[in-house]
Amino acid sequence: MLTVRELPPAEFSRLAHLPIGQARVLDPTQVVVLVVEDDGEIVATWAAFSVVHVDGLWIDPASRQRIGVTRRVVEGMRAALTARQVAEVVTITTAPEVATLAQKVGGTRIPGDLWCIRPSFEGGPLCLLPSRS
Amino acid sequence: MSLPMPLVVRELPAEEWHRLTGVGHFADPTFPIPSPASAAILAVEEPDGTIVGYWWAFTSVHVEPLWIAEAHRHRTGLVRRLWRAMGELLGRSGVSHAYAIIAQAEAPTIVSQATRLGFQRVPGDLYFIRVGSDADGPGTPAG
Repeated sequence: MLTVRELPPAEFSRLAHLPIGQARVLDPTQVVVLVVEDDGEIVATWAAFSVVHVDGLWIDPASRQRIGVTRRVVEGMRAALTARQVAEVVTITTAPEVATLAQKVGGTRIPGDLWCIRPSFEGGPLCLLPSRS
Repeated sequence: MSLPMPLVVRELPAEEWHRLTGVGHFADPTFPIPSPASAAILAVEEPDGTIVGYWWAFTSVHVEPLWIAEAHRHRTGLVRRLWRAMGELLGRSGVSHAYAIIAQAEAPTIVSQATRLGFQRVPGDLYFIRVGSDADGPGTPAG
């Protein structure tokens, strides 16, 4: 019989041999793991955790050529993130200049796509992200 | 010839976020200003306070990776039950949106399930950045 439940941190050791246990550090203060069990055997897992996104970079066209503006924005964002002890972020972009910026600050392309959902199953506008960030 | 006055780059306090209304993306009234509870906004201002740029960071919840043992992958309703439990968990935590990165290698099996559950692909290329890293060389002082 299948059961679905949130796995208590005390049982996280049961995940060690599964893909989730090998893919990331399972810090119980940072991640929640749901499991499906079939007579006690874990047959499915799904995790939820926080990620910081940096998005929506916009500079007025008239100011884009101002010397050093981009560098100062990058430095400002780095300072804001460091002050919050954020060590890693992701960003998504459709703008080539932002992709170039991401690479210049050491970003690496993730070979995949970002998907979004509203967990409440409600209708309405979905998952707004700026189109040129 | 006069040089332009230096731009001011600073973190915008939440009580000033209303100033973004009508600026950039926020010229579109359906585009929501982020919640101060989960976001920070950096503003670029002219010396007179006119906002000429911004960038924001926000904390989001990711739901990944989804893994199902091979022998159970075609079991009817398993993914939907798992998603219902995840949706309830996120709902209890007040999470309005959740994201998932689906790797290209997983896409053939995961995308159809994600679409059926209601996930929407966000257009664009994804980058992972370590905050401390900087591949850029010395820069030019801001003007």
